[in-house]
Amino acid sequence: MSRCRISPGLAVLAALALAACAPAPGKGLFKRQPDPTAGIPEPTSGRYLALQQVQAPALQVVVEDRSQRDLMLFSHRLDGVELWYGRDGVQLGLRDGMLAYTRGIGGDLMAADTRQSHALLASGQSGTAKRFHSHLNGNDQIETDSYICDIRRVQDFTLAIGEARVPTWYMVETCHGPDLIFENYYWVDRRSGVIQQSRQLANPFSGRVAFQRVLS
Amino acid sequence: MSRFSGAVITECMSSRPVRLVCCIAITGLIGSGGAAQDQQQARFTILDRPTLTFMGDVGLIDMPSADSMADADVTATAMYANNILRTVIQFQVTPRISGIFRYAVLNDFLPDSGTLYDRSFDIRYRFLDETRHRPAFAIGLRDFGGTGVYGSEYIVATKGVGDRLRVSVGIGWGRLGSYGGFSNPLGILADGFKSRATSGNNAGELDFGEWFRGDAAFFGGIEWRATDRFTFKFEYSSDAYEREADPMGFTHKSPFNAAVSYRFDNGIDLSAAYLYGSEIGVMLNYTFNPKTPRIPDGIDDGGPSVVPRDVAAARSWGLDLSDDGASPASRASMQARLAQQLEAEGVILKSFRIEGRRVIVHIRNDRYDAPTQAIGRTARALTSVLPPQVETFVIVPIVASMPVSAITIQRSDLEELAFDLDGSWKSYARADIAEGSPYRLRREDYVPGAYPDMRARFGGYLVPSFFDPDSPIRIEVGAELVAAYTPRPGIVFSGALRQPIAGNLDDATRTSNSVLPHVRTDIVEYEKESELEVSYLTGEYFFRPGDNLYGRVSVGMLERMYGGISAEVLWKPVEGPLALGGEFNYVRQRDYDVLFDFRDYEVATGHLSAYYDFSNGFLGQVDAGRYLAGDWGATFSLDREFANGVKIGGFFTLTDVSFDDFGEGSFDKGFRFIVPLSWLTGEPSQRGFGQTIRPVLRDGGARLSVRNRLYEITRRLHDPELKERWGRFWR
Repeated sequence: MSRCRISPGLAVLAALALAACAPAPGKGLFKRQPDPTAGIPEPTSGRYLALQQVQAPALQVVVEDRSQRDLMLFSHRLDGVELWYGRDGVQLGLRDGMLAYTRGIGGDLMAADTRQSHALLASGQSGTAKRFHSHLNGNDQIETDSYICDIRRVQDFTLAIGEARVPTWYMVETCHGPDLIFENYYWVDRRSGVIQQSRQLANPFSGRVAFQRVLS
Repeated sequence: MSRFSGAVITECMSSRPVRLVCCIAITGLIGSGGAAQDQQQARFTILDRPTLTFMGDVGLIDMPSADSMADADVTATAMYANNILRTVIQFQVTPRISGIFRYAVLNDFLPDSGTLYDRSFDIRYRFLDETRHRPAFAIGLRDFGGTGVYGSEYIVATKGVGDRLRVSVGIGWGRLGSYGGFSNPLGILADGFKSRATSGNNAGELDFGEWFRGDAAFFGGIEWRATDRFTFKFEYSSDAYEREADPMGFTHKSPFNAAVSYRFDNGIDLSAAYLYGSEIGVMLNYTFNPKTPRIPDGIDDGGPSVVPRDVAAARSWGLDLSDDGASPASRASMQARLAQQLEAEGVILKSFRIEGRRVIVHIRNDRYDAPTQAIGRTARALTSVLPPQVETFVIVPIVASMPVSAITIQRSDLEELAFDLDGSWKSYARADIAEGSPYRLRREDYVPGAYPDMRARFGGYLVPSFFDPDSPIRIEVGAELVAAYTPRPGIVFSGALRQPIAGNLDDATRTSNSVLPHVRTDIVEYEKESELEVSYLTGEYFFRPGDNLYGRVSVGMLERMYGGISAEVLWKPVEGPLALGGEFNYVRQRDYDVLFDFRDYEVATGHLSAYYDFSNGFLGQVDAGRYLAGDWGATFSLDREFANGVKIGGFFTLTDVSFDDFGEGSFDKGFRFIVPLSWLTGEPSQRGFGQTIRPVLRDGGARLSVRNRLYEITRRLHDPELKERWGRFWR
C-alpha cells in the first residue's frame, strides 16, 4: 500500500531516480564496453583535443534526461575544484567529487557550496547537511537557493568500474528547498572516502548528471 | 519564486524506504526547460493570477476589479462579441499601476454602415492593498486619451472571501455610469461634476475636464475559482452599451453577465460569456512575463575557464612561464592566441598592450546581448594566455571604436572567485569600472587586421504596419544587405539595401490629409514608389571630445525619409543616473523611391535631451527642441527596462502645433517595446525585435530617426547597466 499526496508548491527535477529502483543501484548507467567513447560525437573543443593529446584523466559522464554521454577530460584544479572538459567545450567542476559548477549544459549551476554534505558522505555517516546552489535567472540575476539535505548510508555495495571491484557505501542525499525536492546518489569508496560514482542534480533544467571515475 | 521549480510531482510514500524514489511519478514535462518553467508558473500562480475582462483589463466580465497582475506581466487579449472585436495589450507597469492599449473594431458603428476603428489607452492604480479585513481599492481611467467610445472612470474595491471567491463592488462614471445611473455624488464638491459632455472630443486629447463627471452608477460581481482551471464569473454591469445599441444591433436586455474561463498551463486563458441577456462573447488571453524567458539563462557553450598560474596547468595550456611577454615575438604570439580564443567567443580583439604587470585590451563584442558576458569571457581567456606576472587586466569595450568604459579586474580575484557561491557580486565589487577616454586606441597596439575593418550581413527583414482602417495589420518581408566599413577608428561608412519580396504595405491607399508639411504622413507614397531601396547610406564620425563626453557626426541618407547632416554631443559619466545631450540636424526630405533623389522640403531640426536612469528599471527621457515639421515642443518618455534587455515604454510629444492642425489624435503618442532575440531563442545575439506603436502617425512632433544616437550605444557599457547584468560575467 502506498499513499499519495499532491505536493503543491513542490517541484522536482527530471527523471528522479528510476535507476535507483534496480536491485543493484546504478547498474547500467555506465556501459562496460571496450571503448567507452563509442557512440559519442567527435570532439569540437580545442581544449578537449589538447587534453586528449596529453592523455588527461577521464570521467564518464551521462546527462541522464538526455541520455547524453561523454568522456570528459581533466583540465586543471583551481581553488579545490577539478575542472573537466567535454568534447564540445562543456565544463563541469567537481569539488571532492561533489558537483560545484557547470557551464554549457543549459540552466547552468554557477556555483555550489556542498561542504557539509561532503563531510558526511566521505565518512559514511548518515545525518543532515545544508547545501547552497547559485543560478542565473531569466533576468540575468544570480539566485542562491538553500537546501536542507538528509544523508543516509543505505547499503554496502561492490561497484564495478571497468574490471575493478571497488567496495563502496551506497549513500542517498535527499534535499528539500523552498520549491524543489531532489535526490543525489553516491557510491563512496569505503577505503578512502573518495566518491567513485555519483548521480547529482545539475539543475532542474538539465536534470541530473551521473559521473563515474575511469580508473587508470 | 525560484526558477528551480521544474515540475509538479505526485509523491507516493512507500513502506520500503529504499524504493521511495522509484515511486516518484513526474507529472510535469521534463524534456524542455520551457515546459518546466510554464509548469512552474501554472502551479504557483494559477490561483494568484487574476482573469481579465472582455475589455482586456483585470476584473470581471466587462467591469473592472481592484486586482492586479504580477509585476511586469504582459497580456495580449482578443475578444469578439456581436460586431465588436477588441485586441488589447495590458502591461503591469509596476506592482500597483497597469496600462492598457486597446484597438477595437466596431462594425456598423458609424452612419452608413461604417466601421469605427477605435484606439484607446487605460490606466489603473491600486491605491490600497487587500488586508484581512479590508478590500483592495483601485482607481482607473478607461479610454482617457482616445476617441471616447469607452471613456469612463471608476473606483472599485475587491475582497477575497475564502481562497476561491472574490467579490468586487465599484462606482463608475462615463460609460460605466450609463446604466442605473444616479446624480454624481461628487456634485457636492462642485456643480460642474454633475454634467458631462456626451460624445467625447473625438480628437484624442486628454479629456481630464470630463473625468468623473456626469451620472455615476454602481457595479459589482463575483468571481469563483472553482478549480485551478475553471473560473466562473457573474456581474452586474453599469454599462448600458447605448452607443452600440442602435447602429450595431447590440441588444442590452439585462445588466447581468455571466462568464467562464479555462486556464491552460502555457499562459493562455479561454473565456466565454453570456452578455446583457442577448449576446455571446468569446475571448483569448495570453500572459507572459518579460522577467522569465522560456530558457532562463540561455543556450551557450562553456566558454573559457579561469586557468591557474601553476606550472602544470600552464604547460597544459601551452603557456611558457618564463616568457614575460616583453619581446615583440612573444607579445605577438600571446596576442594571436588571445585573438583566436576571443574570436570563437564572438569577441573581436582590437588592441593588446602589456605594461609590466598590467595588460590593456580593447574589445568589440559582436555576439552577446549582455556586455558583461563578453567582458567575463575576455577576462577568463586572458588567464590562459598571459604570463603569471601579469596581474591586472584592463578590458576596454569599444563601440564605434570609442572606448566607452574601462573595466579593471585583478587576476587573483578571478582565481579566487571562479567557484565562489557569491562570486558574481564579489567580482563586481572588486572590479573597477572607470571612464574609457584615457584608454584611446593606439596604432602601435593594434592587433594585425584591426583596421580597416569591414563587416557585412545579408538577411531578411520584416516591417509591420498597424491600424490602417482598410487593413489593420499590414506587413512586408524582404531581403536586406547591410555593410559597414571602418577605415580607421571612429570613421564608419555604412549602408543598407532592402528589396521587398512579399507583403501588402504598398497596397495602402490612404493619402495624407495633414495641413502640416507632410514630414511623415506621406508614408504610403514611400511604400508605393519604393522597390529596391537604400534604407540608409551614411558616413559617420564618432569621437571622445573629453572625459564623459561623446561626439557623433553623420552625413548622408540618415534614414528612410531624410538625408542631410546630423551632429550630436553627449555628456554621460560612466556612473550616475543623469546624462545630457544635444543634437542638431539639417535635413532634406528624400524622394518617395528611397534612392538618391530629394524632394523640396528642408528643415533644421534638433533637440536638447536629458536622460535619467531611476535605477529601479525605469528610464526617463525628455527631448525638447524643433521637430521635422518646424514645430517646437518636447517629447516625454518613460521606459521600463529589464536586466535581460526587454524594454517596454511609452511616450508623448506636445508641440506648438494646435490639436486641430495636428489632426486625428491631437498630439503624437504611443508605446514601444524591444525584445532581444536572445530572450526569444535563448541563443546569444545582439539582434532583437522592436516596434514603436502609434495609434495614429501624423506630422506634428515627428522626430528625425537617425541611427546610433549616443546614449543608446554607450549606456549599456556603463553603470548601473553593467551592475544589473553582472550575473553574466561568469557565464
